[in-house]
Amino acid sequence: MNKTVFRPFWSYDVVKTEEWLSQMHADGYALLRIHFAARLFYFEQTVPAAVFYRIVLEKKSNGVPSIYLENNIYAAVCSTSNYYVIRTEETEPEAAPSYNGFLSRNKKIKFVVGIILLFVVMLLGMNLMILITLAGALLFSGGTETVFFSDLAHTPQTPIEVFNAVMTFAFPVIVLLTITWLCYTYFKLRITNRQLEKLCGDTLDLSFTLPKDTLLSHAEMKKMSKNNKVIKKSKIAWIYAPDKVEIWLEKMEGRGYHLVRMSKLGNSFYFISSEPRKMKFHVDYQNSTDPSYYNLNKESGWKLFFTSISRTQSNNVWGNEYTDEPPMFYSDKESTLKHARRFALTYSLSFLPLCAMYIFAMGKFYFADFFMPQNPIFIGPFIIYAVVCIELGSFAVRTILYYFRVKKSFAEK
Amino acid sequence: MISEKVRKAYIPMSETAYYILLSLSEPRHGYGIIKFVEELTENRIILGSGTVYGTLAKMYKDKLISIYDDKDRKTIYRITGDGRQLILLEIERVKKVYVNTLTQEGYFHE
Repeated sequence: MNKTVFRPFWSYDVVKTEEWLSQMHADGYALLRIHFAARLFYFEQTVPAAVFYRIVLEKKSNGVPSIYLENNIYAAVCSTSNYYVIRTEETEPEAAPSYNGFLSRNKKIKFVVGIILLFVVMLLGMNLMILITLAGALLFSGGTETVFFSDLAHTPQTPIEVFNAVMTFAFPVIVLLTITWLCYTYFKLRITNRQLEKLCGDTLDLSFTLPKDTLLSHAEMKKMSKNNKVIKKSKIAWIYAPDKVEIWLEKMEGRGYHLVRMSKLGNSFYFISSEPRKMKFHVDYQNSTDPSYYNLNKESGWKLFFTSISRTQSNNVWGNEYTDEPPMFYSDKESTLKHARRFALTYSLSFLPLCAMYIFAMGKFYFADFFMPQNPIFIGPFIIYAVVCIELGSFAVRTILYYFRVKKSFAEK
Repeated sequence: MISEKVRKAYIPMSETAYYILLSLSEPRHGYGIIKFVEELTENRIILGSGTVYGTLAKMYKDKLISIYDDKDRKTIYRITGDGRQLILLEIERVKKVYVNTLTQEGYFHE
């Protein structure tokens, strides 16, 4: 006996779907294939067994990768060009495919649905009348439909009239169903995406990367600063010239001041006086980071002294103690320049438009005929705008200069 | 089949990218790649971790590599069909370079 099951929202919770497939197998139904477009699952009767299924979304995979089929741990079930399904009898196989394909796809869906929902909420909020009418229509369509139709003086006859009459009731229902579906999608994905993030090895806890042997704990530091053993140095907006801070930190270490901690926002450096040592520092900028970023650098001997609170557009201060040759965070010209370019581009592209806006606003202050240019009331804001504009502009220019310094360092070598 | 765009972007390959793909003859994690390349080239090439992370991220985006396993924070990568095709193309090129090198080398020794 074969069995076909329609499961429209299977991909919103892949883990649950996989559990369901295992349950089906335990009940004597083995998965034959999945019609992904129609969301149909085809089963055939089999001997009940404990089998674990994995559905993998991998674009252009074109079949089950042979590496999983070696050693007979996994068996191929079915595959299309972008999906494959494998199963195993082992509870904890040595390696398992990543959920990353589903995670990144569901993240995109959640983002788009979120924007549509925001738009819908705004539309409804702006025009409350629509909402009230919608509620009225909903009350009518809830069971009184037939009565309403029989009461009509003129029964709809032509196809267009029938269509219009049906649409009068169907339209709000369709709208409501769509909104319900969007809400379901959004909130369901919010839960399952978090679950998938964890399954992809991603947890927000970064403490595993912190060099506990070299970094002082907060309590320890407080105790030491009471005895005046900790030296605090503050720097403002140093991030826009990271190479200069790297050199400064290396010099401090060379003079025997060990970096032990940085403040949460990264503008204060805490040192203790000790033996001079050779340390290489690197301030690394990443558009987005994941656990493997921290893990790889840590394994390669780099110690993390600071990371931004945000996981996107994050700055990270890494240090590496050495004896002969200074270790390189980026070992070739291509990736070094790429990093510097990404850093300079991101910061200057976010600051320069703001700068332009302030210049425009200042122009308005100065030239608009309803403002008296010499009126002292407007000099205050004018000066503030000018200061902010110069500041933002200087940040942007400094990041660009950093890029050129990095580029020049290769020309000198 | 790998797209023309990917082929143009990767061939000829930088030494770093070449050795990273070459090391994926079996699934490895980032640090495993660094160590393997170090051994293979007898410490001639010591890859920086930032370089490896960036290159792997790019190759993953271009579907040359995929994740073999990522259960506990350690992402292990494997080469995909596209990646295999690309490295074979590059190996062919490098072989030709090697043959040309051998025939020409003698003229430069005095």
